[in-house]
Amino acid sequence: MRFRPTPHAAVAGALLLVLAGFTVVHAQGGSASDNSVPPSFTGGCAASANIAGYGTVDPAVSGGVYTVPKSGSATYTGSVPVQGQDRTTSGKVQVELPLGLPAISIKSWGGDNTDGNSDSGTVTWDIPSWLPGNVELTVSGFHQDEGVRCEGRIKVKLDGGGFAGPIGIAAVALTIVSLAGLAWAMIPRRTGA
Amino acid sequence: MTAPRGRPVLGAIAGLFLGIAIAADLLLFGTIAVDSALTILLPVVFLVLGGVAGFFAPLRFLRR
Repeated sequence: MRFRPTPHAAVAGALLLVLAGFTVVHAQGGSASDNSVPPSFTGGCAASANIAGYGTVDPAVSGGVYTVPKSGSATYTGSVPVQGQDRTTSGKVQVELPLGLPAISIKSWGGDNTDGNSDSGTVTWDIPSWLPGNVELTVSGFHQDEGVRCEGRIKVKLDGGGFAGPIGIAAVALTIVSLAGLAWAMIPRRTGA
Repeated sequence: MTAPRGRPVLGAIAGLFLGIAIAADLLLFGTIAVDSALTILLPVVFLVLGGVAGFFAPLRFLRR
């Protein structure tokens, strides 16, 4: 008996090949990017944060990709190389999102009567659950002071699986549908009568 | 000029969306970063490949 594959079998086979390829790529990827991002911190300030249960982040010393929880808290310390009373300052730390989505603010500060040159405390955040985990994002921050501007950025991955939320499900569905469409486009059309 | 045997326009559109989907899957696997050039390259490459594959329609054995 001669085997005659159906379009469904071909699409399923192609899908399995793609998924197998992803598995290989994923297995090879692992934590390779963890040390590929250099530290990024300019301006002479100092800042570090200790994320509860996840360790210390110091953008001036260590680069890499940090895994952080979607909801959590951190104790932080920071200082600027500026003295003086009633200074005008501003600053912010935020998570930058792709595709032009608005950034998520973690903490902002500033005013017209800043006196000190250091700060410490606790900050909490709650990033929307629909954002997929395991995606490399950028957390950026700056402090604008009189004559000084400090900027820093780190790479983070939100804790959790990438395919657990609606975006992951949509990505898988789009993969299957577009594979089926491509397979259909590759089947010759009937010609003539 | 050789007439297309398959559906090149559908192939290009499906290829474009497949490239977007693969880029999204790789992002969600954590294999590539959001600012990686692959997020742009993959849709473009798959658009072209899909158009070519749809033009030549090599899956002759699937035609009923």
